[in-house]
Amino acid sequence: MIKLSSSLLPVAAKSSGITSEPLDLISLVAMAHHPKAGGIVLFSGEVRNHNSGKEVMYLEYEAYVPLAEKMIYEIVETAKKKWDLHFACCMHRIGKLEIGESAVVVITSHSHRGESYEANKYIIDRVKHEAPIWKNEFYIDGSSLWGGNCHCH
Amino acid sequence: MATIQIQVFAVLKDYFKSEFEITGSISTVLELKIEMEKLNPDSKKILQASRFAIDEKFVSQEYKLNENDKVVVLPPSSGG
Repeated sequence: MIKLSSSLLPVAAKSSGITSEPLDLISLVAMAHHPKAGGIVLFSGEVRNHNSGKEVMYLEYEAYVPLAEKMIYEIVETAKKKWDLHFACCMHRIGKLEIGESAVVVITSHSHRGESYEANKYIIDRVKHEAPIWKNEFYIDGSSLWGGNCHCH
Repeated sequence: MATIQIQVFAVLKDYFKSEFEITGSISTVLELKIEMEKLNPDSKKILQASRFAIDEKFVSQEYKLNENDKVVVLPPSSGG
């Protein structure tokens, strides 16, 4: 049997954390290909044009970057160990985002799809609830509302 | 008397300047939270739901503050 050297695999560019650049889903998923992987799951959290019955024009995301990045790494590493993933990443975008853009991407790769789905949901659920990242919704009527304020909890 | 540096994020910026300082007889995170509530009583509900961090680590309400500590106040997350 041929043992695959890790040097044959794509070089790991920064694949998890916070970025102010548009998320390049294709480049990220290219990093997830792995000779042992049988199923790769990609989740993209997108900016939708409505929330709570109001028409949304665009969003702005803010993060406490150093802690948010630490927590994302920790969550991704925990998932990798828990499901024995071949690859996992989570990148969250900050700044102004237009409708239909990707705000967050999670990619998980495992020998079988079941584990890839489970681990992917674990990562996005924890990042959404725990990492210090916030969205500010800007509506068509000129008003705006921060997520994470007490009214919606 | 201690001077504590404070930085707030997201919705808390509707209630406070993003960075400011409080000087007073404040020895714990809980006492700091009470001082912030006095500065702006409308912030109480959000402060109750917020987390506090120093040096990029979460700290409890009982955490003993040191002079010139920089405390970061993080309202409930709404990423994704």
